Amino acid sequence: MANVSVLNLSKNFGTTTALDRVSFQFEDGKFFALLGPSGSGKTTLLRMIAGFESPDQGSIHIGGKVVDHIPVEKRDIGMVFQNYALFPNMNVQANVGFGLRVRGISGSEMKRLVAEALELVRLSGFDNRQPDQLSGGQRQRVALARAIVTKPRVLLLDEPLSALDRTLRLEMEIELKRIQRDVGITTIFVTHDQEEALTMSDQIGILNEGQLVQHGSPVDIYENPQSVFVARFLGEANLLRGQADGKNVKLEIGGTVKTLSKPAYPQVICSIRPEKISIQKEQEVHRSNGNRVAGRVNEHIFNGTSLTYLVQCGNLVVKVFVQNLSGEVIPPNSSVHLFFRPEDTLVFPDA
Amino acid sequence: MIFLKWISRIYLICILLFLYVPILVMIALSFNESQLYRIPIEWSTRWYEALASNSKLHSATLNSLTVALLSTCLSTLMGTAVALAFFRHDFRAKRLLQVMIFPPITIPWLIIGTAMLVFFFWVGIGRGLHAMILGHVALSLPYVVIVVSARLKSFDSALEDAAKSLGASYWQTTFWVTVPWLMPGIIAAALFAFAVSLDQFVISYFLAAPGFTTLPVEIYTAIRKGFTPEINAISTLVIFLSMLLLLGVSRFYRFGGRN
Ligand SMILES: Nc1ncnc2c1ncn2[C@@H]1O[C@H](COP(=O)(O)OP(=O)(O)O)[C@@H](O)[C@H]1O
Ligand SMILES: [Mg+2]
Repeated sequence: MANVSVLNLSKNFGTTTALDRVSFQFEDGKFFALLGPSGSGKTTLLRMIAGFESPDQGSIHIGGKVVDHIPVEKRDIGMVFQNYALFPNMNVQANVGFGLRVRGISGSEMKRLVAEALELVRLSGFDNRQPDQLSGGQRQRVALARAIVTKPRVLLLDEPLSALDRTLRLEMEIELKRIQRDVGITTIFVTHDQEEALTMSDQIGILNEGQLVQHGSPVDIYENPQSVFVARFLGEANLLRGQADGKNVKLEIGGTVKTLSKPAYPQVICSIRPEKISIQKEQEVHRSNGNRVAGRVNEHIFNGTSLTYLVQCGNLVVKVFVQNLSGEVIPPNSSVHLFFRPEDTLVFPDA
Repeated sequence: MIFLKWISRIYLICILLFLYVPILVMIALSFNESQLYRIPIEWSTRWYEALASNSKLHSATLNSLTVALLSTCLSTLMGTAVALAFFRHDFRAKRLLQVMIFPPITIPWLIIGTAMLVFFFWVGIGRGLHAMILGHVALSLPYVVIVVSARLKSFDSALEDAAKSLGASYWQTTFWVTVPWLMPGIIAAALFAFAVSLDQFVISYFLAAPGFTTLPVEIYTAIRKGFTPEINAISTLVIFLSMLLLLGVSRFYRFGGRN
């Protein structure tokens, strides 16, 4: 186990900038998610840590030592690929034992370690299966067992769950997290799925166009996004344009709101999460503190535990999540007021 | 539509007849007692017996097999390495090199043979076994590169990445992961190379030395001196060997489409 740090990494492919001066510290034994839209440089960063790509600039440390000139096979990493990359000419045992064989471990010692790893991923007894006799989820587990059987210093995963269907993915998320906790290995997990990143990781780094735009714990990033991009990419956000008006913001859709911080630009965007908004029928309004916006219900989506309202406010549709406490539903076309706290009203410059 | 279907069937039958009738006639005549192609055929294995005591044909056959075996080993090794290099690396002039592999297929053998003969004499290699092996390697190399490259097209290079991430060196990755996966392609390529060498006449003719000929060259010489049904017999044997090789190739190599 070891911590990994990347310092000022840059990489260009021709004229595309895949990574732009990325610095980050991956702490020992923690689970990190690298989250970003497709093409944001996640794979490039991961492959660079593994040693498959060399940076144009910057350096990488594993366990406190510079590894810039150490080839992949000497970096002591474990990696799980998007399509598992199991060796098709080898059975499960040979696949999992590959890294051991390379290290000169064979015979009963190899068998013991392979059995241990297979037990960890709950595939005991699958030793003699061929990869094409396994389901997607099982292949995934074999790939994971193969990557950790050599007890590498860091585990790298590139969208390992994206090829699985939804139920299996949720199951594997839990499994992966359990295994990571059991083994205590520093893990870097690449994904474009925000839910995956939120539920699994200790720390999230968000990449956009090759830059690390924000990092922190899931709660921290979710509650305190530093930009409109992050607010919108991680979770959902209602974005309301407005103009700074002293300490307040005058919204384009009407109404003036107080924000968490004082608006520092004349043109701003306010961001409010749908679950931080409460909704009341106009006739029944009994709250007056906090921010308030008037609107009319367009439609609602009922899914048992909660309700989603789409509320027309001016020319904008605002999304509101409500817990199903009363069992009452506000019908479409009702005039409503939306309430939200100033602390939940984040303000960003309008680019 | 039905009309077209029949036309195409007849066409196919014509092609098959055109291809196989001469061969079938030759096989039939090799079992004919008469030397003068008298019909009806009288069954006899006389010409095959005659083969057994024809030491010239024996040594020519042995030479053919030696050249085929050695040149196949060399060209399979080299051709696989070339295909792997093209697959793994991007380098300047790669395209040009890829194109330059092919002339042995496109340039007439007569011209290549002449060029080789002149060149080999010029650098002092001369004619004979080693010259012929060199010539046949040059000829079969493009086939090996093509067949192995075709197999590599469906190779997932993530497998090599996976092997390296698990600590495998360049050679371990090559011999434990890539080559085993390529094996059907490599075997097909080797059979191809073997067949190319075995069937080669023009270049062998140029590079044959007095006292060192191959079977096709020996057959040609024999025909020029005067035809005997012995030639039918040896040709029949060669045909069966070639067919066997072809069966071997088709076992490992998909000819276009899926089968
Ligand atoms: N080998 C490559 N050659 C050229 N461009 C590449 C290569 N690898 C990545 N890129 C480019 O770099 C950018 C980042 O790619 P990548 O790291 O794969 O993104 P992600 O994994 O976040 O989807 C993309 O614009 C991509 O097209
Ligand atoms: Mg990617």
